[in-house]
Amino acid sequence: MSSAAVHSTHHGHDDHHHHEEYSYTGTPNKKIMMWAFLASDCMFFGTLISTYIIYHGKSLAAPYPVEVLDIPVTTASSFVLLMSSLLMALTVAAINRDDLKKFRLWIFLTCVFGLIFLGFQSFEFTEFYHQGLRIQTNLFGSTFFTMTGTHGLHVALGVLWLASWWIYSFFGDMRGKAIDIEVTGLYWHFVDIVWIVIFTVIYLVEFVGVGA
Amino acid sequence: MSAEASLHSSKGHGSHEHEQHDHVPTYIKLAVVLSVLTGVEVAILYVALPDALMLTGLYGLAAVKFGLVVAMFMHLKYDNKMLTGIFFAGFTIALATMAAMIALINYQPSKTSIHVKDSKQLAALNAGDPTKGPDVFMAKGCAACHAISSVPGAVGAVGPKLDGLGQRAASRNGKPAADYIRESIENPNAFVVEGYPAGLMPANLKSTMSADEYKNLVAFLEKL
Ligand code: HEC
Repeated sequence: MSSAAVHSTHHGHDDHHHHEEYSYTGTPNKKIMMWAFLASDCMFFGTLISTYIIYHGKSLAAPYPVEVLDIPVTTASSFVLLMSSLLMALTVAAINRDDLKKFRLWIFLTCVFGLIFLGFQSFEFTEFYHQGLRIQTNLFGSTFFTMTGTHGLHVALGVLWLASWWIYSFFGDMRGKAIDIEVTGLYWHFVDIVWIVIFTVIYLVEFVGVGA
Repeated sequence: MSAEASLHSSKGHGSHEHEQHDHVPTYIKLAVVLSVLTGVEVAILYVALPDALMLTGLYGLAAVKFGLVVAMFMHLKYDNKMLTGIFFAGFTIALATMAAMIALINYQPSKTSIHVKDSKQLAALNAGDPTKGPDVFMAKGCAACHAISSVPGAVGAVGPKLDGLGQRAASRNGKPAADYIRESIENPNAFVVEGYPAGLMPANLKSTMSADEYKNLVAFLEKL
């Protein structure tokens, strides 16, 4: 079966299709690029997280992490981000099946879950603000807001990226775009795994020996 | 050739052959597993376990979740191994840098390294040692003007006798005793004790002592 024939069942006409740029390894260049970027992003977040750890316990002004971090709320937001990863995987599976309807549904829901996560984060940030924690309050505030803020920025960019694909799917030609969606998905899952680390290192470990 | 393989490319690259089977059921199972693991992570905090065990559990579970998402959702398990290599090269450098930075910075004389976990510990850290107060009181010349019965040699009569200061301080201007005492030293004219002239007590006395001496002095006066 030719690829043109497959496309025609969905788009009603057969014509050109997009050729990916493949490296000699047989892997699309876009994918290699994304993985290389994610590898570098590991170092970026690694620095932010270790800065948090290094200054942990060195704050000479209240409030302290144990006094403001909210485990139930953050558990809920972590769960939402985790489930958005499932939705993202379903999005990629749908575009790989050429199922445009499901693709639109799943990518839209991925965006919504990303937005819910950001909602939780703004709730948390305002809550901290009211409890007297600003970025300039103490070392905890500086390192915490810089790290989680950078992560939130990653989520926000991801939402924009996904939302543009959702909109594009109504006006543009999705043929040959499966690889682009997969690459967007890699970015999205990465944001999720960074949060898996932050949730443990910053939130959960804080309450060891104290109780939540 | 299946539809999905052809969507990727007509070249039929070997690396895509795996995508011919349906991953969706796997994804759903994986999401259930990840949710359960997250539940266990949080539950650990509510169970009384030795700290070391808790930490092992928390870091271990995070690593498992991380690995599952990378292998399954991000497909590294099925993809060209070169991608795993690229990613974990960066990841390893990041982890090694973190470990090195944390180890280097924590390696310092214990005197300068403090660890404050909450406001209570901060208060304890800021509290001076009242037993060292009398020495400061004598050394900094307070005794020339002030008397304190419990301190031998403190017999000055230019300023008020400081016996019972801790009790009366609170009623002086409504602030906590320590705040009033600090104000009396840093800015003596803010509240001038009845029967004594303003401007007699020097306003620069704080600058003659170290932060620790000052803390110890205030802690001592507060207890009078
Ligand atoms: C030159 C004399 C002089 C010296 C030295 C001096 N004081 Fe005083 N101090 C006074 C006088 C006079 C007053 C009362 C007038 C006023 O409130 O400023 C006073 C008031 C005080 C009060 C308020 C007492 C109250 O009953 O409210 C405190 C506390 C005090 N001094 C602490 C100190 C300490 C601690 C030192 C040493 C670091 C010190 N003073 C050194 C003259 C002195």
